[in-house]
Amino acid sequence: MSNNMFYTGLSGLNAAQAALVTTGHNTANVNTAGYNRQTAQITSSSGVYSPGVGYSGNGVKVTDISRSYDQYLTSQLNRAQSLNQSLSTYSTQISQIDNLLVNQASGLAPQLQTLFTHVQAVANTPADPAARQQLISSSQSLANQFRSMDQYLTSLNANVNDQVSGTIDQINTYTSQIASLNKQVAMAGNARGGQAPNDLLDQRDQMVNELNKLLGTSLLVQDDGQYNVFIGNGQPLVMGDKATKLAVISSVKDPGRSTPAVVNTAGTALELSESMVSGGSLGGLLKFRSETLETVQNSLGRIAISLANTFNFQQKLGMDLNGNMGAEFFSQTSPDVISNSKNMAGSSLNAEFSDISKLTISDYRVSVTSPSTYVVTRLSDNTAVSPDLTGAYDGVKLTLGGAVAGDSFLLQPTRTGARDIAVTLTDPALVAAAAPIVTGNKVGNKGSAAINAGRVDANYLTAPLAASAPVSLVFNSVNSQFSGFPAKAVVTVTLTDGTSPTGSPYAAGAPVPYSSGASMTFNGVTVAISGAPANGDIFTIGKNIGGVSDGSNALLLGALQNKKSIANGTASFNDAYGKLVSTVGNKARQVQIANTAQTSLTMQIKTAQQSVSGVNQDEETANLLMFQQMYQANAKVIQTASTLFDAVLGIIH
Amino acid sequence: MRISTSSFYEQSKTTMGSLQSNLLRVQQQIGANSKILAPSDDPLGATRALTVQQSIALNSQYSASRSQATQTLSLEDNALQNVTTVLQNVKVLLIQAGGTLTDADRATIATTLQSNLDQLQGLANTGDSNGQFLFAGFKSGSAPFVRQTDGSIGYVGDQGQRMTQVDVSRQMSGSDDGRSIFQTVQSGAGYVSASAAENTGSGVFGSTSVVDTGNLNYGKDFVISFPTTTTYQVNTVPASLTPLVPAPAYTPGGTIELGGLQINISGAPAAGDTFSVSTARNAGTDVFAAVNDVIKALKNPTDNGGPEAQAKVLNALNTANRKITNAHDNVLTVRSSVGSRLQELDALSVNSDSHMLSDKSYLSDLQDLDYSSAIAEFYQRQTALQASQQTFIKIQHIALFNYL
Repeated sequence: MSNNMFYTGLSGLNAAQAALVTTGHNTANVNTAGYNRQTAQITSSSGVYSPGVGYSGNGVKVTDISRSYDQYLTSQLNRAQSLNQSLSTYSTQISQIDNLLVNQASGLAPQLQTLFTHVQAVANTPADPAARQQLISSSQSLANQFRSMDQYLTSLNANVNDQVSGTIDQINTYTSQIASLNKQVAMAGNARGGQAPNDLLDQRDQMVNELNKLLGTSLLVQDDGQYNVFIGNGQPLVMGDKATKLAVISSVKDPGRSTPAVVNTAGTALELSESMVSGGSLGGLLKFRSETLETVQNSLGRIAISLANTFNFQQKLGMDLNGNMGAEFFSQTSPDVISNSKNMAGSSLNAEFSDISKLTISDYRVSVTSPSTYVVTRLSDNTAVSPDLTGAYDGVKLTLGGAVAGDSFLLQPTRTGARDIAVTLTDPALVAAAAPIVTGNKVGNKGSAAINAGRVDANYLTAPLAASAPVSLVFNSVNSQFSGFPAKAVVTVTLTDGTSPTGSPYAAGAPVPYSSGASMTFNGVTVAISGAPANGDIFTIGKNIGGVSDGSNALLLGALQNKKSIANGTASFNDAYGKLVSTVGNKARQVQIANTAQTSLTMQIKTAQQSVSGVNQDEETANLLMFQQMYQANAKVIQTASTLFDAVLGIIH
Repeated sequence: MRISTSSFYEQSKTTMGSLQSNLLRVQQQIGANSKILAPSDDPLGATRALTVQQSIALNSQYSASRSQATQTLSLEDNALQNVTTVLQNVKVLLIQAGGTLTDADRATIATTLQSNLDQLQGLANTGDSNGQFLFAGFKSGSAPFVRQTDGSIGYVGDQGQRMTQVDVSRQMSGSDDGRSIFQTVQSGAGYVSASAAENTGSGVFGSTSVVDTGNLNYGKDFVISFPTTTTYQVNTVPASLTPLVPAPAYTPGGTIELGGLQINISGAPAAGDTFSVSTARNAGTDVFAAVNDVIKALKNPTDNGGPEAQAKVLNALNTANRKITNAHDNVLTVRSSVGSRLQELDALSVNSDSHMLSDKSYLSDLQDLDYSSAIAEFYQRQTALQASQQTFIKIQHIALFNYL
């Protein structure tokens, strides 16, 4: 009986010790990430039957050290954290663009305004070299601004590439650790007869948690307790003790993008479709890149292309101080075409702009269906684009060369626009401020009619007026006609109400009936005469010679500021920039709000999970005191047993 | 609910962190005096601000253009005022020259006229602040009015209109070309009469008056010719088959009727003498030529030439007087158009200033910070942060260990 009492006391001592060790372990891990609180499971030992006495207690035993773990809460937390990380990465990245766009002193909008203020200054004082120089300087600083913003975006892209590759290294570390922990867990579980290796499990759960912060995964627990980790629609990352390696490769579609790939058993890296990657900081990065970064770069590029193009067009219709037609003001980019690296050798796609106003900010995929046919898909809405009447796709003309079915190209019409804009004009005298023509009437005209200043269009460039051959329009009052239009020039007339009179266009050499205010167009020149001309009155249209004070073309250049020349004539430069700012601002705001909401949700789940699994120091202190007393009490039991035994011994002596 | 120790610390950290970042935000807003630190703060406001800024920039562009136009127009106004003065002087001199004078007196007047002509040419070649000629049209690099080899003054500028964008949809000519000032007459300008250079008689014409604008031939040019010393004919130019007035007898000083006009001729015209009565446009509209012609006429000696020579001078003076009056009227008309343009610029400026003001106040509404509410918010958040820090310190002090 007293023998039994020794053992009972001893079992109590052991159980108290185990509980104290567990409490100590908990206390030690109070701040360990991913640690789940452990509890020593103490059960009374089954009693010993003594006939006539019944069952007498046989002390206590520790059956298991269990951890307080809730699979449901943990996986909920993993998912929440994965999304949270994705949003906060996106938010961090987009805030860099958000901050770029806000700068009012050096942003694009004030530079655009300065440019046009200086265009207006040239229009006001075209003969002033200082005004011209100012225009060139402000156009240079605008071009610099475009380029530096583009450079910033390109460096963000490089940054994303670096982060993608760094993240994938980390993912590989975690997956291989999970695989090896899987193995250890399986071994430990088998060897120890079903008692869970708590701290290994904690470590593995922590790895899964860390992995989810990088990349959203789904988890499947095998019967033997091993974890299988998947991404997307079932691409395995970890299967038991095998981890699939991820790699970073340059996308075959766009070498400028680092993109994740799966390394197969043969060692080949296969590009992962970006739709497979969601959640985690990697998901956030890829989403930022495709949703915002590229759009912003394209939008900026489109503004730069439109500005350069429309400015050049008008500049070429004007005349510089030397009396020559205007030269290119800005250098222009051409659409960027990237061949798929798997294309047939020698296959090429040539792209050029045909109508700047039709450009979109999307990229395009050109899939070759036969050596001469192809399908163009706009990537922003994933729809096939059909060519317009001129054969152009959204303002871009394509020419295929040496391609075979299956080849594909990535077309980025506006990507390089901001990168490539530069001012080619350096001589202030070459700013084409003047109109190439000047109109007037002969001294001695008797009627009261007057000719307007006239304007020229692109057709003028093919047949400009020679200095020696001004056009003199002579009025004949008998049949109310003007003659004297250049030979071989067809004259088109538009009346003041916008209609064309019957007979227009008039054949070369034919006289043109007079209508007051009607515009008459020939060889790219449009003039209008209004009032009452007298018989024999002469109006002249000549080359503008020595017209240093003519700012007519500069006025037309200035008018571009308000002209809706972007997005099918719906947006001016400033509108397009405003659209960009609002798109980025809204997206950044949306991501910020989502991130804040997700952070607080994650916090709640974390608190719930910690409420189950976390260590509370006060609780552990109380446990410590409790098990210390248990230990002391059990020692007392042994002492009592000993005293009893001594008492028996004393009887003998 | 069981609170794990680490989640207590973590939550406290998160709360204080977010309170701190909120506080910092308000502080940044106060520092930048702007509600909008990045477009994401207020995407709509940021975009609207861009539009309003563009509108303000455009407005100041137009305002700069208006100043430029005001400056050149004032310069032009000034020059035209001087031109008017010179033309008035010329007219006074012409009246003086009509009196009984000796050749020497007339030569003196001719010299004075010549200096007036030079002054006029100088004014026509007025330069602006950039050293560009104001009345040259586009060709402002060189003087528009130059003396030709024959002594006359010709216009070598062009008729380009230097337009300035003074408002969204208003382009205004900031100057006028020389031809429309010095070589043009208004459509309502009076008839100019002249005696032919070959006239040998002493016929002197008087002033022309309009009596019947409804006359069939009103508005045409006429020529009065004397086939004999006692009869005259009136015909239109170009001549119609039948003379307007066949062959009435000539009475010196009598009234001659022609196409709604009346003119009187006195003295004794010789047979074959002609007098033209032309519309101002057809009589030669160049003010320099008019002055030049009268100078030439005044320089001809008349002292020994009898009434015929006297008549030549008187007729030349008459013609010049009418032409100078027409030119003077034209300059006044241009000047009044300059004045109305200056007035319009003033009106546009007033309009645009109020526009600018409303734009600026809208922009301020969009992005400027309301300091009082921002500072109130700042203190509120500061208090929240302090409270949170203090409670954290208090709570983290409470631990069972402290009582052992």
